[in-house]
Amino acid sequence: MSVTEHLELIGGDFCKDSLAATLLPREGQILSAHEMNVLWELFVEIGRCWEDVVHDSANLRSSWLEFVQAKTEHEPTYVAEYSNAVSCVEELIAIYGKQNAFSLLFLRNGIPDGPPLTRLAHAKRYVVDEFIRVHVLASGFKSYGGVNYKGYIAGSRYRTRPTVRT
Amino acid sequence: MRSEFDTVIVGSGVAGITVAKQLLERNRSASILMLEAGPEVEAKNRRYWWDYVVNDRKPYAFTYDQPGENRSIGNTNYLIEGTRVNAYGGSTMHWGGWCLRYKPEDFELYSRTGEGGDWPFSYDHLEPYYCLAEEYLSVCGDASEDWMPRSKPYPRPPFYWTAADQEMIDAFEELGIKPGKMPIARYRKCMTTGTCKYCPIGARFNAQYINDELRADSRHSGFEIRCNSAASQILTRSKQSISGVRYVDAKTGDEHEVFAQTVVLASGAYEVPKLLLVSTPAEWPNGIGNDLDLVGRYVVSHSMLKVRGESVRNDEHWFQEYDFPTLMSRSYDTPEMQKDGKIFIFKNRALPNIDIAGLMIQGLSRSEIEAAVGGPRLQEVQAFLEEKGRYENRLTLAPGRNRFGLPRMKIDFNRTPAGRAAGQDRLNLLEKVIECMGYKVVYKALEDPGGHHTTGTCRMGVSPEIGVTDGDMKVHGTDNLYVCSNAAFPTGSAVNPTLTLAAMALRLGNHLASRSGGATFTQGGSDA
Repeated sequence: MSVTEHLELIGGDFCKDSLAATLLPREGQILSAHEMNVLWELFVEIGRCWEDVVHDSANLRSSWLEFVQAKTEHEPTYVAEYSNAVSCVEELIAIYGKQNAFSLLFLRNGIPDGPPLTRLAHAKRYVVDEFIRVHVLASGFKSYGGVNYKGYIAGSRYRTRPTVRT
Repeated sequence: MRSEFDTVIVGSGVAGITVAKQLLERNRSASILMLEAGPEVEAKNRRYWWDYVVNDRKPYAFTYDQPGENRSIGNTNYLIEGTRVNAYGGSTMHWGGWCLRYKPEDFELYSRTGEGGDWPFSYDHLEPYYCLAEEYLSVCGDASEDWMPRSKPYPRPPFYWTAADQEMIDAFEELGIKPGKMPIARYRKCMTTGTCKYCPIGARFNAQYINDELRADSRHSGFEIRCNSAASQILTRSKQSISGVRYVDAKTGDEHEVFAQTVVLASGAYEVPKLLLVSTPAEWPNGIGNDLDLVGRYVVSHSMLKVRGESVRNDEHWFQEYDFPTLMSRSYDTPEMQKDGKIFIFKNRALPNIDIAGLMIQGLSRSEIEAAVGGPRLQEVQAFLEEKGRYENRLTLAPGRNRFGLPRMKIDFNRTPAGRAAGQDRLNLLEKVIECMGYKVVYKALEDPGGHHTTGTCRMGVSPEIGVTDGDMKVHGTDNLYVCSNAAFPTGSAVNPTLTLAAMALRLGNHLASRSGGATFTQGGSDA
């Protein structure tokens, strides 16, 4: 099913740089406002690629922010992974242009199966893949006909209508 | 550090905390120490929850029994890993909240079939405590169902059947199986995150919340919980009189002794018999309560029956929406079925399911995912098979201790040819359900018993020759040592034991309060 099996790894020197598979150490940095903006753009592009945003991605921003906050303010922290992903995305945009960069990253990235051993593979495994899951559980599942989904928190606790298809 | 208490309770799960809560409600200044061998794993932690829904990582998983820590030595593998949480709050940290009453015939298994055991009292005796337990656990159920006599309706309305349940409901009805709604425990109003294994808002009942509330209540200054504190010995003054408990602080390695007028063992169907067996004062050379070699015997749990079917298409795009089943039936959990093996039937909580995000991660396009969501579709009917307690099936000690300082164990569980045949027979019934739905059967199995619902290792009996504990769950031959655990159940029935355990804990709290001159519960649930 994977379309990435016979593709060449995308990106430039930075994306192809080798790394251990384990979570990158934080080394004291924080996420800058610019990095947060790039990460949000990455999240929005997920909805655009799979056309599963019912209204507007901005409606999901609070869920996404809370997720990023939980991942960066508690151990093990993802700050270094997020920073790495931003650099990968910027390199991809520089090489392929914005529209192609996200499409290639999501659908034709050439990352081999197995542990993430390059910077791009880290960005995909620890950032893109997790953002995809957040995107689907926060709203994306609805575009496939669902009313509820694992991880979806449904509105008011004082509702009277069922929160699943009945 | 305080060392003398009115009551010492070993175990911080639903059984122990329910007893503690009752004692404190009757006497706010009661001194109670609760010992928990495991650590405190935070509930309602947002990072933990995100890690669970995004990475499928359970924050308490490290407390599960690990492969190699225990041994299954019978002719049937007895699954222990992943079945209980060794932490503050016990297994309610990961339970699904299914709350089913036993039925009247479950209290008379031996009399009715010549196998297993009888309870020292009837369903009618326990029924008022079932009502209290349903209120306590805030059970959502269908009051119109008549699976067994009940004097009060459920305190909360049931969850709806989902659309994906309907084709199985139709098959049930065609085969004469009455469909019902699963009774589910809720602590606060559910917002249906679909994640009962780690609820981010504390909606599913978790004993940890009661523990926290009691600890935070300044009126209960005599209540204390010590985590990472594994009980290692029960201490005695004489054969009949228990004086306290010795435990090991895992952080320091220091041993401590605490003393109490009453000791309650509420640490589950494995740890209770283990603690009795390792406690061998001169008066009890074979272990406390074990003069007749009954401690650890009659171990039972449920075996899972599963039949999965596949249909060609999923035009409705159904996928899993709750993390618990809404459809069940007790039509084969009846007196007529008892001799050959009762089953409790329910629909697989996780099917049908399409991992949409997983397909996106693989790089599939929108149209490819649409095609996957549209079919084929999997549905599965499952059942718990009642196993009957047998003398030969037993838990014994193994050399060494585990990470928490608890003794290792061996479980010798042997399924008989008749039991195997009964399981196959019931499996054929479930297969008919799937076929009746028009699905092709793709999986059919009588699986090994899982330790989630283990009962019977210190069963109640009217005399020491029949059971380890009496009808009040007091260990025969002692004045003040109680078991509050599934271990005391003489039968496992075909349904989940937690509601019955809560009812028994409420009953024990009532007994201990009346014994010490305190007020007791009325059937209405208020203090008398």
